[in-house]
Amino acid sequence: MKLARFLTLVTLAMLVALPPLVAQQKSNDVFIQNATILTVTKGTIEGGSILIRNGKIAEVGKGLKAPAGATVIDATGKFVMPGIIDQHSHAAIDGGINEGSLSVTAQTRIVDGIDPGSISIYRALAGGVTTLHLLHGSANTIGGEDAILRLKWGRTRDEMLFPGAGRGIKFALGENVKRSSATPQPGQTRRYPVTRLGVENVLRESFTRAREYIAEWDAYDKAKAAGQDPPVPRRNLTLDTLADILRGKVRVHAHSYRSDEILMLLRVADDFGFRVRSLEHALEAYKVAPEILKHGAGVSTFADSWAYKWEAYDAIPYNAAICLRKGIPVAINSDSNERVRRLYQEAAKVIKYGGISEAEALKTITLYPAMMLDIEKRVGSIEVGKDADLAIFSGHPFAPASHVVLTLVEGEIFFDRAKDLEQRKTQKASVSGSPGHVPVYSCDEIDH
Amino acid sequence: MSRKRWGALVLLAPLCLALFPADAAAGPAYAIINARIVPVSGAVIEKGSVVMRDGVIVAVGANISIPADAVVIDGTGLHIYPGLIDANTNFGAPRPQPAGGGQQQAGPGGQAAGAAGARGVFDPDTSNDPDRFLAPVARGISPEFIVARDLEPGAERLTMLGVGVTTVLSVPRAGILRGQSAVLNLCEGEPSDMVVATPFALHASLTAGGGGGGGGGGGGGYPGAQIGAIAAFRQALLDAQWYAARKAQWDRRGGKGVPRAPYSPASEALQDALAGREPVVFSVTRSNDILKALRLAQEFKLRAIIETGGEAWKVAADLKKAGVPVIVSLNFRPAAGGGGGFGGGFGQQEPDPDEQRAREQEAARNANELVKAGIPIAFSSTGLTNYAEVITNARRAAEHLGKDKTLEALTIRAAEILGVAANLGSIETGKLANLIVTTGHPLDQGTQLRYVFVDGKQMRFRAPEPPRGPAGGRPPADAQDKEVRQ
Repeated sequence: MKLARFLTLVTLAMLVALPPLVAQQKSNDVFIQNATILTVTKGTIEGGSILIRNGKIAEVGKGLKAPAGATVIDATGKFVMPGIIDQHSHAAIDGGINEGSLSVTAQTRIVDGIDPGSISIYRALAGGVTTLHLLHGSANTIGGEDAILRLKWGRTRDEMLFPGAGRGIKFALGENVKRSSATPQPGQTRRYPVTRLGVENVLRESFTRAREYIAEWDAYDKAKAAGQDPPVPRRNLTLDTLADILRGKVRVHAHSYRSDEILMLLRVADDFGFRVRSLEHALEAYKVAPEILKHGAGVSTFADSWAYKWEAYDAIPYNAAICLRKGIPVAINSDSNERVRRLYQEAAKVIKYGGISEAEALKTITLYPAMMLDIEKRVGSIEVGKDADLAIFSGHPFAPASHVVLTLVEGEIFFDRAKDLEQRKTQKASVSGSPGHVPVYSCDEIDH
Repeated sequence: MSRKRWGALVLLAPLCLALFPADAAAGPAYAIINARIVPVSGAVIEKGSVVMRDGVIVAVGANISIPADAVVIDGTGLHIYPGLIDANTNFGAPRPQPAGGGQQQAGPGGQAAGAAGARGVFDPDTSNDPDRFLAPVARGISPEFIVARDLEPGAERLTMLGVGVTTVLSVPRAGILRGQSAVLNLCEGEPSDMVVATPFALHASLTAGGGGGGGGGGGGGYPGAQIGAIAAFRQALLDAQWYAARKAQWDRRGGKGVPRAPYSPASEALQDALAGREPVVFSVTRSNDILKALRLAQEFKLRAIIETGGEAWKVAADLKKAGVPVIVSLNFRPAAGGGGGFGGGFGQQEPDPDEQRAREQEAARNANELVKAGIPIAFSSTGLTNYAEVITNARRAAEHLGKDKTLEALTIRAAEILGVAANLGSIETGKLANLIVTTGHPLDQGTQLRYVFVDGKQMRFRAPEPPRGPAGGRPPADAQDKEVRQ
């Protein structure tokens, strides 16, 4: 009896954990036919087909024929778009997303905390998301290094890490950093900095030290090359990462709200010669769009959240549209294990607020985030040679009633709505019959 | 024979000695005769004797001669097994643990990273000092702490003996690099008399312990979150490598023209682990944490042992591939919550009773799954609140693993993993005389413990209170909840 219950549980857990078998033949061709294809970069193709070979998009267009032996997906009446990229997520991380004890924790790495079994991955897939940019929390001026995760649900961490992705890091400005410092619990001491001025000071002190660190190592390398026997400097993991930011090897993604702090950061970056790749949230970016454009940063924002805290007081829903019109790449991100399931609806809001074109709106959840993460050569649009990360919708993704039918990563199906609905029946039955209750996983939660 | 009567016998022993003085070098001998002997390492002797002298088994067999001076115990109808080994306890580990030296490494400028020191919490007056926030002193880094030097054995020893455990691994209590453990025999006498082997291993975990957490605020000190603990672990090992390199340079050049590297007890203490001379035991709970530990071990080429709970079976393939032994807790109650950490409470479900039961059953099957995968295992009492569950839960594990293999994991396999198989874990001539004398197989319901010998001496022991709740050792729901929510 006990064993039977256990086995039921395991079986059900496996049903949930395994992607549908039909998609498991990676070496085989996959052919999606009769679809409306939203390529993002090359317009919309009505009644088009996509041939996927070895996980890559081999052909896109009209009048293609399915090669013999290909797995055929009939997408009549359906829409195909590139897999959605959530540029700002804290999903699938266990053991805490904030090393909040210090205001500089560049030595930490989100990759060390990834939980490949987190149900939030599957839920994101159900929203057509194929890539998550996983960030350290916003408690620190300089947080930890990021990770880019490909949502191959059921696979190991290493199989999910985006191949060839470079390093990035989370910065944060403003309230969260100050607040983390200024509200000690009983028995705790305060953490510097407690003002926006202090945040700037922490940045400048940090990169001044990082310069000294680079000089120290350069001197060592030079002496070594000259055949001397210099004492080896101590490696400091914090300064290692800060030095690599100065060397241009680490993307900077900076949580920010107010225009004054955005300008402060851009000045610091200019002074120290590094580039901020994206301003996260940046709800007042519209006030300083020319400066952001000049620096070369992107803006990764919410579609229509405003006034939910002091530093969001001056936020307007036209932020994304204004920045896009200025020529700034804009991503609409989730920052939430819930919102991640409906980013396509969030993207549609930039059409409502500011009349952005459909193609540009699509880019806010595909190509632009890909560019901010330096992965646009592989994902972000439907083009020959790119990875077959695709979301197939029941209707146009911007139509309110549309939902995701299939989500593919490198040509493999990792979410199949029909199968999901089947599994729900089994699960319900087992719950009502008591034994074999399938655990409902908790969300690993998020912070800004 | 009742315990009282045996107590009287022990009192008589010195008297016997006085009456029959043996060889000057030899202490008193004890012989248990006419018992069924289960050596674990070899064939069962249906009717035989064990002779002990000076803490060592000097003879085992069916037809051995009993020394004239031996105190003889009639074992008719009784069974002799090797004493059981609990491969992870805090028994003897002082509380609070003496503060470790931490890193106290020189920063780039040559000055000690310093006074932010022991607590790793910034003083508000000085915390804008980048020497501190860019070269933090991590709490929970005390690899130089050697438990055998500060043993504080507690009264629970009698209860441990009472379930037949005669040897334990004594492990420092908390921290990322906690310090180094010792194998102890639960004998009487001075604390240092207990030490069989020290240090056995360096002990690590992926949490600094105590307060903190991954929350927004600083409180509790660095590191608070697991990613911070992993970073601090990495930095400590890099520091130790750096320290060794600087020392080697100093030695190579006789100290001429070389800046002096400050002495670091922590870095000194990590050298054996880095060289693979000393194993590193990672105490982790969730299966994903096991993978994290294995990656760290691989990163620094450490000889890892995983000390964990009921989820290890999920990553058996990874454990097997890494060639890592596992110390499995006999606490089958599931670990708390999901991933934990900051904001982990949002959307968290109350543990479902059905699911909890299912996970307990998984945990009971865990040992068997690991053994089937070819992974060497030992058992531990980690996380148990009632020591009697060492036996009652071992019985539950044995329902899957089988009595013999469960007993092996509690004896000879544990001795192998703890590096003391030459001296402990089975009944063989030449090994230390840690024996239990019972009315049957220790994993059979109703078996009673009659005598316990540690180092050849008979021990007093206290029978532990049986676990509350229904047979099978599961405590009632309220007790479970307390455990889970702590």
